[in-house]
Amino acid sequence: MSARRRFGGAVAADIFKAGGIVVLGCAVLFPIYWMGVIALTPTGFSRSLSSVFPADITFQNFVTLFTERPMLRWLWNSIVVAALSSFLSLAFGTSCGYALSRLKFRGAGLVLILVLATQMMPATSIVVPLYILFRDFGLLDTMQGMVLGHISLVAPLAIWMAKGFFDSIPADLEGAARIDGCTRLSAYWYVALPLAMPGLAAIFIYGFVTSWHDFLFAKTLINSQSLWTAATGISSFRGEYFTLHELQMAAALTFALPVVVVFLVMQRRIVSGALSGSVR
Amino acid sequence: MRHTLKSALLAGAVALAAPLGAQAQDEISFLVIDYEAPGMGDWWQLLVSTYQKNTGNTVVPRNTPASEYYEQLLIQAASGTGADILIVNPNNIGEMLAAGQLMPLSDMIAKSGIGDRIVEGGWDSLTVDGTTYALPITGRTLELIYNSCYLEEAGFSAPPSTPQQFLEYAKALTVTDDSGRVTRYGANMVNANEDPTYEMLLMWSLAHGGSYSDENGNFTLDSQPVIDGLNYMKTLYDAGVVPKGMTETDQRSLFATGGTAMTIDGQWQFPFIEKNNPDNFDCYKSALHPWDGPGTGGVNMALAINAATDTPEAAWAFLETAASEEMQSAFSDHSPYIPYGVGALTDEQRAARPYLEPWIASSGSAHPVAIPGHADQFNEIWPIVVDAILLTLRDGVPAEESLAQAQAKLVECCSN
Amino acid sequence: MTTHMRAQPGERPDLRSGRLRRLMTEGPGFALLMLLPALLVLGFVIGLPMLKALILSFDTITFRRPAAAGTYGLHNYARLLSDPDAWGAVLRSALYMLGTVAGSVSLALGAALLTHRVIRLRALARLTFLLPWTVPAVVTALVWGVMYDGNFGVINRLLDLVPFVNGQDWLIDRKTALVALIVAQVWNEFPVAYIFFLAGLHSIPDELYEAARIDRAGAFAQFRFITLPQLRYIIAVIVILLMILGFKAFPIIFILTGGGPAGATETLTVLTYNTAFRSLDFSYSATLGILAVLVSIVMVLGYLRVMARADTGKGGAV
Repeated sequence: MSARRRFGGAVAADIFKAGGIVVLGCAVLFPIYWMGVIALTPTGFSRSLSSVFPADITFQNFVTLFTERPMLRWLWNSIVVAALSSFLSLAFGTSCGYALSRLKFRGAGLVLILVLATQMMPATSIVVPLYILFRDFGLLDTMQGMVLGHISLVAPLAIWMAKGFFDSIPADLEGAARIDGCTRLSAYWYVALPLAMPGLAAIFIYGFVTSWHDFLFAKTLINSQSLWTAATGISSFRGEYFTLHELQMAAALTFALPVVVVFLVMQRRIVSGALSGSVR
Repeated sequence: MRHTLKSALLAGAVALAAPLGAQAQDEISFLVIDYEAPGMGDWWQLLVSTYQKNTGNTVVPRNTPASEYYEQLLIQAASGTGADILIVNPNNIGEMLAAGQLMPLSDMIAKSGIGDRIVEGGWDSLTVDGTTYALPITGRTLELIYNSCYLEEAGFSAPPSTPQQFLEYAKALTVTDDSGRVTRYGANMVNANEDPTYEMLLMWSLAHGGSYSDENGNFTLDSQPVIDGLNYMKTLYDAGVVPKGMTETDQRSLFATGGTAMTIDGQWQFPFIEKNNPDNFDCYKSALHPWDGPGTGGVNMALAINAATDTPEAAWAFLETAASEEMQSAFSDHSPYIPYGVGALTDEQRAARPYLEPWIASSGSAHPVAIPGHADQFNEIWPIVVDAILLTLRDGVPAEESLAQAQAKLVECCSN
Repeated sequence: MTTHMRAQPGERPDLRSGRLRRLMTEGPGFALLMLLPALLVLGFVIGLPMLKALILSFDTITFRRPAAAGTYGLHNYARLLSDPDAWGAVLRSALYMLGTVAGSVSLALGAALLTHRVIRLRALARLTFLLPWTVPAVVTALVWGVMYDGNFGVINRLLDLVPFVNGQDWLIDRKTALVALIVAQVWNEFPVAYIFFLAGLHSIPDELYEAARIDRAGAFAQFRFITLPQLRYIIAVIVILLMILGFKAFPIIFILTGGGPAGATETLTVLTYNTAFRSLDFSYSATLGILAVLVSIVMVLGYLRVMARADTGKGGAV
């Protein structure tokens, strides 16, 4: 009797849970779904949709996006800036993260706090002085300037994450290498670095995505439309002479898609990266 | 410091440079709005290519969308990275001048004789204390545009011509679905937190026989016509016949795709509709703004030269090209704006765009958008006025009260 | 110093000269070699701007009064102390933080509790709650902007189906704008908390629940007396992380309302931006920026403390 009740209760709880997942999941996915619906609606007519399902499906918005707007150029700019800034940040950040993880030196705690603080402070605090400095250095409205600006976003993250990955690799291996006569540098280069490779790939992706998502620096440090990244280009659709939601949503989807694909492929690694102590 | 020295030197250089534009292979930058947009963008591109062909110089366009333009103009100026050629308008010319950003053009205009190529009064709003700072290119007023198919359906044979009619039409043209939600609005009326909202009240104040200032330049925001204008807007708003809180640009595409029946807006609507809603293009008709007295508007794009330019001759030659008969006569083949060149709009061009007539009729008498005598304070003034409008529309504060507050703020911040 | 610098671009282990080699590959020289490149870069892209911000905040650099440049003093700080807009912005930042933290933690905890024991379609269930994280803030702003529209937006349409609930002019109404922004922000960032909670729930030993079941503790009691206490360090870490994210938030607010209506959503970050790039008062903007940095340093110190405690404490597998 009591066993049956317990069994019935468990089934009820499972049904309740499944229902909860479905309801919550639909709510969470709805904005993404709605983006798709609007992007597939003929230009100008998403307002007259009468249900949550698309009426006439068209791919014209995507065609317009790539033929009449510099979407390809913007995406390319985004790729260049994101790849360069995250590669450079990785190059500088890995060794720094290693030092913070392995070496005991005075001021290590301070360096760590500084790195973390720069990652955590609002970017609006830095963008105004950066703007003025870049003006003086002639870096305003240049790709180089934007890469540098994005390094200020990505590098602290890279250092912090690299420290996390090295922390998770046992130091014994390097110790063994040292006993075999390796210098610290070669122990780092030949032992620690290869072991951290998967982690470094995650850092690169994180950095890439951070730069890809950035809006503030791209908007502020770049004036010319031809140098805009996709983030600025897409945000400008809100406030053109005529605002076209359908085109806007097509652009938004196109912009978000690469990151979603990367995420699907690398889900596990990205999740463990997030857990290793840093978030965006 | 560097700038003043530079402009002094340049002024000398300009005076010495005999045949303008003779020095070839200069490169000038040009802050241009919507360079790639159909219509006006086509003319800008034609101007650039004509100039490059005639002078051998190169133009580097800095394309900026309309929504970013004002911010870009000021930011670039503030950081000393302004383009050689700037698009300005009477609303921001005072501000740019105060910061020493614009090169005086009067001497060059007199010498080159292009003064007469612009229609009478065209230079006025770009002239401060007797010195002219920019060449007027486009003019615009706001006139009535309506979807005649919707009007016919509702049994109207002619467009509204009084505020009262406009309200009645708007009510009759609003369509709701079974749940009571509006599926089509009767009219557009910008009421978002942005400067077009300021012009809405100015329009309806003119319609009620007043304006934001008297002839001495004193603010009259608390005067009866402005109160009447705001109460009129409140009536439209509360009747649920205009979209609420939607930005101007959103409302434009809404109208162009059939979501609104009437709007009071610029002529640029037509090329946009032709492109994005071609099936219904024939439904869209224009008429004079629905009240006696002037509409609002004036110069909305003028070309100015950066006071800090390294290439003043090349920059001036660009303005000369823009004012040339060749460019002016081609203007209306591309752009739906009203040009300022003498005789620039031919009968043929008018026949090709019959919808332009209300704008042509209204442009000579339009009331300026910025308050005369306070043009350089436009960007301080409009937020105060818009705050008052939104206070009444959204929060139900009586028009008298919110406008009295705004009047007090204006007197405090911006009296001469 | 100069020798380290010269050796630094190589960064290869095969340094020839014996003494230099020892210096660079062992001890303090090695530490410097490892740290220096990153510190130089950070110094240039962050240290220098921070210094510039500090200088700016004592100067008077504004577009509308170019002549005032070079007037140094404490005037910007004096203005900050008596500026109701600035403290209003701090208050709105605090509200925004609280709102996003409360929203994200409850949504993420709910989702994690629902999904962490799922067996069938496990990957799909998780992906669902992680996906919003991959959406850029700019895109989040655009899509919520379209959905929030008071006239034709899908949110009001859906609310029409619910009896006794009226649609709102979400983003243009002073009373709803901040909440509307918080909802969009929560949607975008709650997956961060979700990841942490999933990991945290997995680290709770099953024996604890079995023991509770033997004692006939109900689901709520299990949650209250086992799950929550076991997750307390993770919750603390996540709360601070989300506070920092909420404090930093910019694109969603900036794109959707720009700080309006009538300043109702002007947080400290938006005010800092608008002061620089709308009012073109670079000096005062830098002063506001420094205030923001000070606030975030306090939060970072709090974060490190909580992290340290979570590392030593039991049950907080972070």
